[in-house]
Amino acid sequence: MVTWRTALLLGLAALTMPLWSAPWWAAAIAGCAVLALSAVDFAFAAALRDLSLAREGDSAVRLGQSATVRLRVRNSGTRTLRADIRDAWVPSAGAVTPRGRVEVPPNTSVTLAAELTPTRRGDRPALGVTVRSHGPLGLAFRQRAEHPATPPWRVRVLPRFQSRVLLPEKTARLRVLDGSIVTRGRGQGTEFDALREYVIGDDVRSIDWRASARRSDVMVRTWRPERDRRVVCVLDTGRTSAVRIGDEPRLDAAMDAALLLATLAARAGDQVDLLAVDTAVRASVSGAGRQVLLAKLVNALAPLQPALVETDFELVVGEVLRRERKRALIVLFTALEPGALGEGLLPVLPRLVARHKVVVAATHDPVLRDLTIREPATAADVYAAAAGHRALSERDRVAAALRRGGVEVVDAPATEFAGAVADAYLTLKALARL
Amino acid sequence: MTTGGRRAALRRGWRRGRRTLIPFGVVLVLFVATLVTHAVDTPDSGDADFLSPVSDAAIGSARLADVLRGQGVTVVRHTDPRTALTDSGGATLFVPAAEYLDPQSVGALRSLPASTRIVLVDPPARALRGAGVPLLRGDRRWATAPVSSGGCGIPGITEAGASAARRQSYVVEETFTGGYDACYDRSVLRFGYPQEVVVVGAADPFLNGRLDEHANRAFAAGLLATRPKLVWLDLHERFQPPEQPLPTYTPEESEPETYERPTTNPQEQYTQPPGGRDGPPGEARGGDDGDSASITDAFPPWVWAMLATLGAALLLLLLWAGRRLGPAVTEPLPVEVRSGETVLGRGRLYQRARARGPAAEVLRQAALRRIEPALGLDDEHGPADVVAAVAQRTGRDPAQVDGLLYGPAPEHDHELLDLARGLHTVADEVGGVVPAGPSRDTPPGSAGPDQGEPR
Repeated sequence: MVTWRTALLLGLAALTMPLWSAPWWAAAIAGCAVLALSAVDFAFAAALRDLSLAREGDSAVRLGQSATVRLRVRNSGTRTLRADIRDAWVPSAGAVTPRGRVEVPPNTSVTLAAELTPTRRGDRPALGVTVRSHGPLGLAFRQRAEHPATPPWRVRVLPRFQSRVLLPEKTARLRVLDGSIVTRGRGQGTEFDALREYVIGDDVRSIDWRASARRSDVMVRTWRPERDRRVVCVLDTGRTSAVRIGDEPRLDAAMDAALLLATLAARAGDQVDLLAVDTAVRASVSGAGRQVLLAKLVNALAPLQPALVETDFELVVGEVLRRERKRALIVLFTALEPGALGEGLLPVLPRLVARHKVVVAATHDPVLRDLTIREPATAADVYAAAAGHRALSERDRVAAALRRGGVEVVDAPATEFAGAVADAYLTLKALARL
Repeated sequence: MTTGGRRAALRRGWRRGRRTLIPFGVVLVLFVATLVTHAVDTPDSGDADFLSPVSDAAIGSARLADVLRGQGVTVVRHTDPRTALTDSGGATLFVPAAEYLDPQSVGALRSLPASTRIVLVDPPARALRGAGVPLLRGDRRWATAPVSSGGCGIPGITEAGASAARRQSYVVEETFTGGYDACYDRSVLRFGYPQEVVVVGAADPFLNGRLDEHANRAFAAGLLATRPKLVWLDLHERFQPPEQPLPTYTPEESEPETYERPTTNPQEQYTQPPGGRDGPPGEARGGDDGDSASITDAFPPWVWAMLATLGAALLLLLLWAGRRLGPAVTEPLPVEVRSGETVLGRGRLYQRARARGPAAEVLRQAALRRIEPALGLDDEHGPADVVAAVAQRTGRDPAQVDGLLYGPAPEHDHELLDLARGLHTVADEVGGVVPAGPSRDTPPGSAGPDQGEPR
């Protein structure tokens, strides 16, 4: 393929036409000469088959931060490569790639660094590398799709985990919980800790008479909060999770809360599992060790996207029952929507509640509340307010039905959601109801 | 951010608009430029230089007059039609601008001696009618085109060859049964009257600037040199006869032509030229091969070679610009559902169904849920108790409060609006707290102390 220079050369030749005695012959000769020059230039361009591409660099980045992925172009041919190289990424990868002519002498390689600042969560793939190898005169170039082959690369953009800022406070509450149990000896723990001698002030109800009979002293039992309990975060990735609450989908708020809960539970010594389900299991993490838990969770959550399907709660319950044999705390992140929960979850809930402690956590829509408390200005506002009141009361009915079924309900606006879920966990832990 | 975004959107819109405007703008500029160039380039018969034997300008004819003098023709220039007519017996009378002749002079053309040749250049219909020439104006070209003579039988120009004579073509009236010659794609016609009348459809062959193109010189000189004397009527404004002015008559070139249908079957006697280039009257076009044959001659060959090379260069440029550096990238977009979509949709459904009663009922229930806890009423209270308590708390009329809380369903939208506002105000006055959006239940610990009991 020729470049603009060839066209310019031919155009300049065209301007000399008045000077020739046989213009048509001159035109033919000029055209042939320019094309021949281009052909020579084309022949001297570095061959594409002698090029090889390789990538290295970051494969994961937290949303809002930058990553670098380097593309190494190796020229194993005998001619110098003069190329325009385009390293194409999806637009949301926010890639800034070097532009301009690259020169690679024979048997050397050059590295082009792409700076990525992704704007969306999930897997951001590199789409393709295009190499345009110019001849020494710049008259012609070689370019072919997928020559050389694009090395695949993908940067996993992890969720922001904004609720990290709440972690110190919640951890402190957890420690208070732990400490208070050690000093008070009874009340909030259910797990047997140790036997010790009775001191004045101990609750007489905790005297272990059998142990006292064995020893000549009065012994009391001490208790500590349960450890090694199981917490399962179940994320509903169905249609209700696609709703935008504020600036982000409901699913992202749920992820944030799930990450905070998982981190907190791991620090409290509990085992955390994760399940993301709509009509199929989209992601699952189970049996992860405490050290790698957060990394595993974040990695599993990152590519999740809401799907416009009705969540199969039958499947949710089945999966949970299959995976969790021991009693566990099931935190179901979904939306309090009569249609989705009333027909999907409520019929199968008893099976779940019979084995596990269930918490339904839902972010609610601030738009709804605004509708109902705003003073109406037009008739349309009144109708909207009526619809809002109706939706609120339906939601309350669903929540009430869930509570009747023995389920805790956490319903909070997106900004306080993660904190509210963590608080619910801490309260349950303090009450030893895990 | 929003202003920046709007500005960016404006800029995008402008860029998109410009993209579509540019081709139209280019076409418009080309069009206007062509029209202006054409208007400037077309000779004006009112110009003093136009076909004047004493003018050296490009639209003058001094060179032609010199050529004729060189052939031994006596060229006499007249500016008064009367003297020209009296002087032209047995000579050639050349009238370059017949539209400026007065009616009397046009009529007098017929009274000239039979040996006279009258040459009219692009005469208007009025002049043709006045002089009794049985011609109607046919189609008129936008610009003069050179045509080949097509085997012309008109004395003087039988050997002339292709000449730029084709601008106005003529159609012979169907009632005319006499003989005539038609040449140059029916742009040059000759009638052998008592006088010989030759009508030429374009002024270009006589112009100084065009004399050397094609066979214009042979054509013009041949046409005007058949008699030893040439009377050149150099007229550039409408001639007013001094003794009998005609102030009411304003002749116009585009006077409607009256075309009279023949009542008898005409016997047409064409003196067909040998080439047979004449079509039947009415479709007086057909010299196109003559046009295209000569447009290549109009420019030197290097122009065409340059154009061809430039075209090839442009093609290469387009090829280069059309080869993109890799395909366009695509973004897999996530699904997006606006919050409150279903609720707002249901609100609009209420409105469309005019469900004022149900809407009012829902609003009243909601208001009562706000008001009742604030009043501190006991469990078994009825509507009357609520009304009384509200009236007492707010100092309103109990009947009005009753109407607001338990009244009939509103009939109109404005009544519904008033009701909603009233409920809002009353609830605010009573001081009922707005139920926290997530009706947070009792904390999970309220299930009773025994639950925490060690087992």
